[in-house]
Amino acid sequence: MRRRQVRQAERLLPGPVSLAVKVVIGVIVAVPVLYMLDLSVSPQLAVLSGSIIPSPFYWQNYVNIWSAAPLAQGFANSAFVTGVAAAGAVCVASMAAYPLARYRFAVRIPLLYSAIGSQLLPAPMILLPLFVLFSLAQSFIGISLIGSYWGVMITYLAFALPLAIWLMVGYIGSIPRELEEAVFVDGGGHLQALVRVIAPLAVPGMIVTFLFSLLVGWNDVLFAAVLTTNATRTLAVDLSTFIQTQEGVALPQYSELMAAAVIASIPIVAVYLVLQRYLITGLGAGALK
Amino acid sequence: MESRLNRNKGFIGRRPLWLVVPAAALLAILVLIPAVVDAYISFFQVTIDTLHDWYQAPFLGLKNYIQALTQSDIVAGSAAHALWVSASFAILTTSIATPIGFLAAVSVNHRFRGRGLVRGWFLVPYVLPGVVTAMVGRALFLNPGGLVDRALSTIHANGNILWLAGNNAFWAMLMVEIWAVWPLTYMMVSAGLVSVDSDLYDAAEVDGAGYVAKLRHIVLPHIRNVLLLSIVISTIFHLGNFTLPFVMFSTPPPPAVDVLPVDIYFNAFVANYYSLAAAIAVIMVVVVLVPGIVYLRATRLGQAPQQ
Repeated sequence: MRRRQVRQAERLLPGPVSLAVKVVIGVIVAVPVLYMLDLSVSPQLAVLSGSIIPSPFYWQNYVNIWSAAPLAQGFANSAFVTGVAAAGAVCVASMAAYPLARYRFAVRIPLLYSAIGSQLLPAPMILLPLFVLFSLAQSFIGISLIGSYWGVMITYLAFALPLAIWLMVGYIGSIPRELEEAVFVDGGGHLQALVRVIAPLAVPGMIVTFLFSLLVGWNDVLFAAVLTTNATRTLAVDLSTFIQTQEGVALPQYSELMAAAVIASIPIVAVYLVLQRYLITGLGAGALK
Repeated sequence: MESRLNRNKGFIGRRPLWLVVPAAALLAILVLIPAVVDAYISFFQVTIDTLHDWYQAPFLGLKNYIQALTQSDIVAGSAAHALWVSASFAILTTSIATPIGFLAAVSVNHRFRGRGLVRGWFLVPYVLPGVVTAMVGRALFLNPGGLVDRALSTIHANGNILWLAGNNAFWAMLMVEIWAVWPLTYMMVSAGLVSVDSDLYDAAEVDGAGYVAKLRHIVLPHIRNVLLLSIVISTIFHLGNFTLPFVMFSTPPPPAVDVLPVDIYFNAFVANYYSLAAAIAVIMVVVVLVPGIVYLRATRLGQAPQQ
């Protein structure tokens, strides 16, 4: 009885309205997604002639695409670069967030503001000076960043940092101090407190941070287009190159393009759906409290 | 209060401030210094010929800025045009996507069967890579043969509209962006709703409050900050979107979708006039500062650590 009451009380829209909203939005989300899936299993000629229902399913696009564009290499590159960059961003941001959440010091405010402020800078603005900087590093220190994995990787790491720091400051700030004090009483230092107490408790926050950081690299076309070579090119760049080669062609291969799009979407959508339950609670517990 | 706590003997030892060094260094080297360099070269004549010793390029003063704002560039009209396109794009998208995200969030606040599924489904547009969204957008609005085109001709509406060229390109881009980004608001509002104590709803129920009263007196006060934050973040996100106009349309894109990031890109990497691109970038930063300052205030980072 009581249980039903709680359920009822959390309802924020009248039943039919709530249902209508869910259905309408759900369908609007579905149409382009289904269209993408539909095109990806349609033969190219069917796409052009305008038949919507593919019959029979034409899986050949999924076979062809691997030879039409260097997808396999791009896929591996993207997974590696994006994954390492996001994990790095979580580590670096968690380290920085600990003192930022716990202490007041002279550069705290400027640091937080410049971290957040850097999100306001347009990415194409950063690209050219970054390229010049990387080539300087190449000629003076002998570190080759352009064309290597490391160049794009640290770029994604740095671009993920502002949001990562902000999320982690919020999350660590919500962890009670008493727990660390137990470590100090036992004679442990701050590093120990961070590794033994804060880090395990901050895992949900770290997962959220990791998810948002993944998107930075997985979605980027701009930096990877300039900072990578054929061997290190990411999936997003492969796709955008592929779509540009289809421009002005008499028979653009939209069905193959959509097959490639599906392949590029599966890993990131899967990661999000698996970790979805952390997303909203993690955001709610920390940064947005 | 906090400083008293810091001096408190409960916290033994030196504060581990060095932990911020890696983050600060990475941001400074990879983001802030390049931005400063860009602002610097916007006053000089750095082109592909003078790039190798850009610090010796001829000084131009404000000439690049004047050129940017008054003369047509490689993509379309002046940067003033790009500014106009960007601003209308960001403002329209945010004001349409925000109510959708809010409605979606309140519609799944209560428990129901399949809730997890619906919540996951709602995130899909946001999680799809930007390139994929742009490609699907292009396929949808293709003429002839795209789904929109076919749907319009089926209902015998004014068919044969070119969505990927001319002024309609703006609306096509707008629709795709709204589709892709409303889940951001949905996510943030949902997170805000987590913090609402369910006792409040129970109390409202006991008092016989209706849905409108619950939304007005419980939900809105609780999520006001989050909602503001999501509006600002969305606006900044739309202003910075490069991938959608770059991938969805031809190269260079039609003038109607010549947003600032695209304009900067084409001036820098196709026309190779870096200083002009830098000047446009600086103009853009000034524009972004408007929502940006609101953002900085809304994040409340300036506040001292809690407790």
